This record gives sequence, C-alpha cells and structure tokens, in this order.
Amino acid sequence: MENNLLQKASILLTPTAYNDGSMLSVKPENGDGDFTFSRGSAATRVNAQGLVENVQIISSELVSNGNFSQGGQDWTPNINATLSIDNGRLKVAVSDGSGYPSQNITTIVGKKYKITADAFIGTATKVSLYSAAFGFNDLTADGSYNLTFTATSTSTQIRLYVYEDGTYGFWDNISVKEITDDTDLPRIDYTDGCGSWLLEPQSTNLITYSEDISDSSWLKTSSGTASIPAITSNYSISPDGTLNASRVVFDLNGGTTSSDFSQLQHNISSTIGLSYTSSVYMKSNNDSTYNLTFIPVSGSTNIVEVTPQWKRFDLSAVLSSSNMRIRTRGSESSGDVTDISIWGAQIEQQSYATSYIPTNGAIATRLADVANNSGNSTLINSTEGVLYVEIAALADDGTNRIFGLSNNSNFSESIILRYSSLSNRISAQVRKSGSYEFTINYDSTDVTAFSKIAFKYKQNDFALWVNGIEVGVASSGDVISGLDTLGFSWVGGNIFYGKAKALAVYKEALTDAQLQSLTTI
Amino acid sequence: MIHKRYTFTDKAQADSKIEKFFDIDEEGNKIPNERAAFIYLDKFVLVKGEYDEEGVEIVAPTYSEGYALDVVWHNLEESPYGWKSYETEPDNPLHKLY
Repeated sequence: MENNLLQKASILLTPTAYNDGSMLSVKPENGDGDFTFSRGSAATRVNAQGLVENVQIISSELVSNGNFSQGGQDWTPNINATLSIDNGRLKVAVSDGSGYPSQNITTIVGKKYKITADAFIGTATKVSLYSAAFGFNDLTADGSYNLTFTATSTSTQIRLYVYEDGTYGFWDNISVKEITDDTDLPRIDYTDGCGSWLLEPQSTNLITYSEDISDSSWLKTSSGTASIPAITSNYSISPDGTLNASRVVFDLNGGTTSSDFSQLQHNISSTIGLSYTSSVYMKSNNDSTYNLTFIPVSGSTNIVEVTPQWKRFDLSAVLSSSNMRIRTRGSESSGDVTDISIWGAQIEQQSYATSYIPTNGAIATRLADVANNSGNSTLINSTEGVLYVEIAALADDGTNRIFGLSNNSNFSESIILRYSSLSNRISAQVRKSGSYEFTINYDSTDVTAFSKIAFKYKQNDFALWVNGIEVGVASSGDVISGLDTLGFSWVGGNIFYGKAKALAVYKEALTDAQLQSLTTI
Repeated sequence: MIHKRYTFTDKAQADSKIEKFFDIDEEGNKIPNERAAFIYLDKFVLVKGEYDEEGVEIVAPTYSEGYALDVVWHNLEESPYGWKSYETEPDNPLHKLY
C-alpha cells in the first residue's frame, strides 16, 4: 500500500538520479519537481560497494578483472610477457627487454578519467603504467598510481610494463573510472547500507596530511622502553579501495608502565572552548584485535578496539589541547606490539563527524550542500495536503534544521518540519504572516535513526504522524496561500542538514489509514 | 564563483565585515543576503613547534600574522565593496577547497 500511496504524490523524490546542479524527482517527470542543488566543491560519499569515494567519480569500474580475482582473464600479454597469479597479484615475467599485459577499455573522446594501480617492483629494474593517452609513468620501487587523463580515442589501451630480461614484477588493483570537475554534484550515500541523499554543512579538515601518516606533520614519539611508531606507507587497501593506507606498528618492547608509550600526534591550529570532532579509520593488520588509546582534542584518553575490519572511529569534544593522538601505553590496556593500518584522519570544528575530506599538504574545506526550488503552485496545493519524508538527522546537536513548503521560499509563509534545538525533538509548524499558527512537537528516542514523518495540513485539521503513529494534532489554524516551493535550504541559518530516503508532497489530506500506512516502518 | 583569501587584524574585524551579509529575521535567524561561504582559518603554523613525549609543547610554533578568512562568493566575480584592501595572496595558501 505504501508504494501505491507514493505513486499518488504530486512530487516524489527518492535517491535515484541527479545531475550536476540538480536532484531529479521521480514525479513529476517533466523536471518541475527537481531540486536545484549547489555546493561549489567536491565531496566524498560511501558508495554502494561500501567504499569511500569522491562524488566526482561518475562511472562504474571500466576495467575488467582489475584485481585479478579471475587470474589473467581479460588481460592480453605481449610476446615478451608471461602471466601468472602470485599471492593475489598479477605476476609479469619478462623474457626480452620489456613485457606487458594490456586491456582495451571503452572511453569517450574528450572525457576525463582517473586511473589507479598498484605496482610491485619484484626483481624488475622498473615498471611503467602506459597508455597513448598519458604516456609512460615509471616506478623503480613499489608504489601506487593515481593519474587522470583525457581520452583521445573511443578505445584506450592500458599497458602494465615490466622491464629487463629474466625479471618479474607484479600489478594489482587496476582501476579506470570516468571523473568530472563538476562541483555541484548531489550525493547518494550508502553509509547505512541503503542509499539516501546526504546534505551536510560546510566543514574543514584541519589535518594537513589525512592519508600520508609518514609525513612530518605527524609527530612520532616514544618514551620508556617503547619504540617510535614504525610507519610503512601504501601498505594496505584503504576504505577508498586503493593501496594507500599506512601501516603503523607501535612496540612497547615489554614496557608495562605509564612511562612506556609509543605515540602518533597531529597538532592543529584551533580555538579553545569550541567543539571539534576527531575521526580516523583504523584496522588490525592481522587476525588480532588491539586495544589502543585514541585521544581527541579534549585530551581525554579513550580506549578503542581495533579489529581486522576497517572502522571509522570518531570522538567529539570541546577543545582544550590542539592535537589528536593515537598511542599504545603500558598502563592503558595496550598489547606489547600493535600492528594496524591507519587512513583518513580528520579533525573538524563540528560537534559530530561529517563525511571524509581528503587532504594532502593543506587543510581543505567541503562547502555546504544547498537543495531548493522544487515544485510549483500546480504541484503544491495550498488549501490541503501532506508533506511526507523519510529522514534522519546527522546528529542531535542542539540546532534547528528546517525544511518544507513555502510561498516563494518565504519563511514567514510556510509549512515546515524541523529538527528542533531541543534534544531529539521533531516539530511541525505553520507560519503565517511571520507568526506560528501552532506547533506540534514530538520527542523521538533518536533523531539520527531514520523516521517516516507525515505532516497533514488542512484548515483547522492538522496532524503529525511519525512511524505509523499519530503523535499530535492541531484542530485550529489557517493554511497558507500561494504555496509553490519545496526546499531543504531556504531558512537562513536553520538549513536542513541530514539524510533523506524519500520526500513526497500530496495535494490532498490523506486519511488516517493512509497516513498510518505511509509512515509505518 | 570566486575563492578569495582575506587577512584581518583579528576575528572581531572579520566578523564585523561578515555581519553585513546577513539580515536577522523576527525569530532571530541569520538570513544571508549574499550567497557566500565564510571559512574561518585564523592563523597558520609557519614553523612547527616542538613537543615532548607527552605531546606537551616545549617550543611554541610560529604562526602567520593576522586573522585569515577564506570566502567563496558564489555570485560575485570580484570582492565586494570594502573587502578588496584585505585581499592577500600567499605563495602557499595552506588551505584549499576540496
């Protein structure tokens, strides 16, 4: 019944399609329900495969068998190359001068592509990633490629060279995806396993090298019997799917006291008294689970459990010391040797962690998501209707986050839903001539969990439904004339930031049975 | 859309310049009257500090002078009136848009 009800909507938005600058509605199909969208910067999301991905990557994988899980299939060796699989990687043995396997991928002339690959030198003198579109790119030691190129042909051949007679080298994780420079790309995020529109505030990652832990901005220290943390760059596959996570080995050398510790530290320029959130991805490099100490900018010690699976750890705190630390210490439940991978560190002036912002030498800012201007007076009925959403807040952070229907984006003439500044409160309100006709409040157990919410409006007949239950009514109040706009980001400093799986507008006041069905989880 | 760096004396001066781009509605909401993203950067570390094993500062870092503010003006092609004289163009901006 819910699906049938969704088909009754005059405007229906689900996380299905977008363009640069717009979130495309399912209904209507003529574009009148589309949201205009802007941000002005890149941004990351968790894609359907669970990988952290720059939203400017716009195609699926174009390389077949790039991780060699199917042996050498789809790769053609030249006359000098013999292919085999060694420890999950493609081994290329060379009999004369240089040899290579190649694969032709379909490309569009003039479009931009990103190619990534991991190369291992083996006994070779060098390896090289080659295409006519970008030439030779030599490595004389193990390393990763991360290149962009513009296609010059409808078929681009990728070659994986290994050099010198009688030697061998290895290749792994070959990937080519189409990319774009567009900066107003909405995000469909799969952090929760199911796609939802992600709307976030502006945020700045204050860590200058978020992935390269070997950089000197990461202070490596030790005390007592412990060793300075040993770093190996590009050691393991990170949450973005490439070989760019750093191995960090903390060794207490048998030390068991508070004087014995091995520590990573990153300092930031910051303001005491403001809320900051520190976050970092970590995993164990073997089957062991490790306890280590994660110290956010408050300076408080937190013991976290690092397992063989990647996990993003995040801690929010009011700043009192301008650094983030990760360490093992004899007196803090640590094992003697802790062998983990680290990637994607972030410190931001927020009370909660936002999506990852990569940095490489400078702090970086992701700008705010702005989504507005859906609908018109034909699609939105001013005298009666229902505003329905399935949404979750990013945090219960004490701010007002407002969205809804309005007369030309005028907050004074609007029908709104809001996450209130009061903890876990959802409110439904009608504003007319700058005053509230009424407010229906509902205190949720957790606004960060998805809820199905419907706000029915009709002269002297208003109701708020949440997760199948009518949680409040208002039996007196006026409706708003001239409703013509649906938006997430039109109320000044109270922009809606959150996640949305569905949003629908109905031109009629649905029955209680319909509202119950629509909002039941 | 343009991205500019400004350097002010302090945060108060930056805030006073920014204030003009907001109106306050009857509910106390700050309503922007210009589409812009203000990125408060404050000072940058030019020379790293020194720290002991506990992470406690031994030698303070050297910071940039003034209060740095980056602004993305979405609908302007140059700095608005009264901002041009605060524009700075450091060789290494130490901050970028992702």
